[in-house]
Amino acid sequence: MKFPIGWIAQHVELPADEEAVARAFTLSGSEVEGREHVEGETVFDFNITVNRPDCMNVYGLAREASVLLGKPLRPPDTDCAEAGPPVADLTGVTVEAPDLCPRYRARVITGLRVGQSPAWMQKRLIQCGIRPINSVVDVTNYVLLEMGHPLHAFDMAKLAERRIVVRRARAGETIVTLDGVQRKLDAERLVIADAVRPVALAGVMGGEETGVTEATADLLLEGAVFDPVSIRRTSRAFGMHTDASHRFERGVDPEGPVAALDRAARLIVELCGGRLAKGAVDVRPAPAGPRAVTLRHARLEALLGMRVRPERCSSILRSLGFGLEESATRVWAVTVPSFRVDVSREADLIEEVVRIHGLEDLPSELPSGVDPVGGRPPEQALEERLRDLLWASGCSETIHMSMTDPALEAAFGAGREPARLSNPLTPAFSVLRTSLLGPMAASLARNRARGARRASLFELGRVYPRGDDGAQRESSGLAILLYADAPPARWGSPRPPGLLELKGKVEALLERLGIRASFESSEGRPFAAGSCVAVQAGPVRLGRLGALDPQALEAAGLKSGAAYGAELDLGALSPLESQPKFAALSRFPSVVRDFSVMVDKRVPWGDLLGALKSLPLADLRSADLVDCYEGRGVSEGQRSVTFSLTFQAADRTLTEADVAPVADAVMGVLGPRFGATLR
Amino acid sequence: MHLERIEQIRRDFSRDIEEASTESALLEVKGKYVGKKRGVLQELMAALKALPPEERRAFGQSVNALKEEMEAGVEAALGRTRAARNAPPPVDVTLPGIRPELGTIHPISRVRREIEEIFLSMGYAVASGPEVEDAYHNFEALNTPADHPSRDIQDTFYLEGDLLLRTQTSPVQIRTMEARKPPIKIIAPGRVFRRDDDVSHSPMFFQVEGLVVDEGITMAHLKGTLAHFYAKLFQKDVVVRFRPSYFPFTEPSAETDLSCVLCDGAGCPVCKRTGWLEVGGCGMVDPAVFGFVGIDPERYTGFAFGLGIDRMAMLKYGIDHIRHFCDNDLRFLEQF
Repeated sequence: MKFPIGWIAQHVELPADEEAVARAFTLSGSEVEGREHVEGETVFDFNITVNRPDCMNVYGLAREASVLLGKPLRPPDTDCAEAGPPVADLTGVTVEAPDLCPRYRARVITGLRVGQSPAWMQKRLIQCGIRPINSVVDVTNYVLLEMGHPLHAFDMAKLAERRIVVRRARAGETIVTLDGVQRKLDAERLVIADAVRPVALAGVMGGEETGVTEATADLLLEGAVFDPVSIRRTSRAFGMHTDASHRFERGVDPEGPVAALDRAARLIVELCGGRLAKGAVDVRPAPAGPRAVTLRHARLEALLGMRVRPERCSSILRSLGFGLEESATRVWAVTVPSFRVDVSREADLIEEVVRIHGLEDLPSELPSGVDPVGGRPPEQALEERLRDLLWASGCSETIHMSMTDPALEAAFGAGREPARLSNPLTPAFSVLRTSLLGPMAASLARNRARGARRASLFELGRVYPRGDDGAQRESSGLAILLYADAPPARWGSPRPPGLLELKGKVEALLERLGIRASFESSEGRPFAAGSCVAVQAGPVRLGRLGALDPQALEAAGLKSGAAYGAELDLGALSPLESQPKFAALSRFPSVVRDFSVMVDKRVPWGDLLGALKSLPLADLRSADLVDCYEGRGVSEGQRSVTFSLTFQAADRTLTEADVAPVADAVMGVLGPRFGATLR
Repeated sequence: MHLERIEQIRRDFSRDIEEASTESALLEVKGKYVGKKRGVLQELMAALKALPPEERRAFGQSVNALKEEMEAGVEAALGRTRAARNAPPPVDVTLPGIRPELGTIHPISRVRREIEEIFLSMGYAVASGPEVEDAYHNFEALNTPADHPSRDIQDTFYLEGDLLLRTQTSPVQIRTMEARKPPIKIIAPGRVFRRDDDVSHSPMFFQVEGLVVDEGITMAHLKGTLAHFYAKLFQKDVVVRFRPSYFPFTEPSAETDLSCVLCDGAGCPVCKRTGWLEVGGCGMVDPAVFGFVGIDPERYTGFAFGLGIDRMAMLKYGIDHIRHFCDNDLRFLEQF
């Protein structure tokens, strides 16, 4: 919000050092976030917070400056000569919706001539970013900028029966606003009407038909107070954010119309001639009295953790326009000035004191005590462990938007209709992901386009699936994505990853977490047919992994290379995580027996392993795959499988006699069951 | 005469052991001199028995010394030979090392962890909450009613019904205070979303929320906490400045300005030559918020603060653009 400091200086003496002025405003809450030169003067760009509508005008800022600098404040001149007949003879105002319009005040000027406003006024408007229109409209805008109260001027001749009715619009009514747009109204909209039809969208914008033109001779000037919520709804419903609506939404001074109308009337008569009617119509069914708020000095110091002398507190509040009596108990009954619509509680008064007193003296202290819960929650602790295991196993962490592209989601997601944003920025970020892999694959495609030929990525983050009942859910997941597209062999580079590299990473992760899992053949998007593995812990599905379907990759923009993905549900992993449990170390040496068998290559290793583990072999510690080979030297349709069995007893050294029966036992089951023969 | 013989053997042994270049040759030398059966030493021991008793003692000592000397000599020579055999082949040490595959942690995670560690060391708990929030927790209970302009501060992504993508981590404050009573000392890191997309904003970014509620908590505690935290995070002395501001859920409210960590306040492009970095909002918990969660504002006071993880990461690592964080360019990721 832009205001020239020369204008502020008309109401309070400012030091020549503009930097110091800007700093004083900024450090008391009215941040000066920019400075520019317009029409030969410095204009400050203020960032006024939404709670301070009283600072959204020149006089309000001057009031702040007067408190900060200790200089007297000079109010605008509101003296106006009333040369016309009593206002009641010229017009009438009916407020049919007092809930939405607690006050409607009007003044009337007759016999004026509308022209251009003088250069000094146009300069001020331009400095504040408002286009000059004609002398009357310019005055209302000038007073808005100067005193903060939005005003509106009607051409009285165009008001049916020359009177005003403030009411809710009726269904089917329309109005053409000053911007030339016809708008359909309904009972939610508060309008200013004449005897017949709406003539303004209350507090937002006037109507075109009754607007002031060069031909206007008689004028009705409106200074009103509207319900902020109603104004905001209307402003949003029509997408009309105006200088008036901006202030009404934030709340205007209920006493504001008086001085603002007088000031405008004075300027209009000065610039356009005409006669100001005697008095003002003022419809105000239930005027609110001044608010009183209790401030305890002890509470102020206790909340701030800083000493502020009681006299300092009371003098700051008085200078800001608050009313209070000195109090021996240091408990003040503070009267809030009408323009401070934001102050209604003790905490608000404490803020007033401290923002003027300054926060620079605030001491720095550390609170004692620790949180009784403390630490990281278990699921987050698990995430951190996984993050460490994953980067140590060669994967780089990615972070993707939670919002994703519907087509990508369709190719990778859980299958149910994803949650849709009702106001996305772009279609590419319009649904919530239910899979981490989709967005990761899309990043892979962008990296591939930049020349990357291999990548090992992981992401820990939330997915947002919907439940069977359609309800929105949110769960934490882990995804791993390995990719290679004929990467050139480089010094020391490992071989390109495949499905078993991915499975190995998942196995190692789960083992480190102390989770026993099994891997079962499965099916489903986004994995290629016959290449999907379900990761199970008993009946609990931990997740899936597999080679990604080239069609899904294509949807992500990846047209070449092979990608392998795993996605695990942390909600399933978390309860299964277990601490390592120490197993006693045997003092006795182990005995290893290697076997090499020829077997039909369609027999899975897992079946052989299952059979080995089911053998009643005492002291078998482990059965490990050594090699799996097909090709030269192995007949068609067969493969050679080499494995080693390790035996160890906890209480003695095993002898040859102990392990001698093993070979027979092994071949006794592998032979008949799988047709395996010893090589 | 016998002593001369000993000296002769010593010289022969030295020569033989010099000449033996292989392990087997050395073992042969060992057999020849100290072998239990036909060794030269055996011959001397036989001669010992023939000596008169008064000479035996001196001769015996000389033979024993020779024996120990020769055994040690053989062992040392064997050791040298074995070492030579097992010696590593010569390597061009200017070749690049063969590296293990190591991944990287995203800079957002790195900085988030650092932030968490600092607060954990100060006795905080880490808390979390849903990213898909309801309007009550994201706005209403944070003293931001519907149809109030304070909602405009944060442009919101809406889902169907009452749901939205949280615009701040502050709803975790509400959820924590709903779940338990003071003392509360938490930080809540996480993703937040704003319908905002331009050069300096991303529709998704990362915040950390802090909340401390207890008896006797003051604004001075807030300042001290932030000063301590930022000094630890940037590993340097920093100045924290509070500038009055407005947030619906704190009163008094302040913006936190930090003396620029790059130029130490002298003025640089990053701090727009002001010497100050605006790093986040903070304030004393608004009594209205305590009202929503049923905490007695007369008995308890509290402070809350927020800061951007993205911003901290950009400052710490000199990252020039917020866009990098979710772009996942490998050339970016691999730098961390």
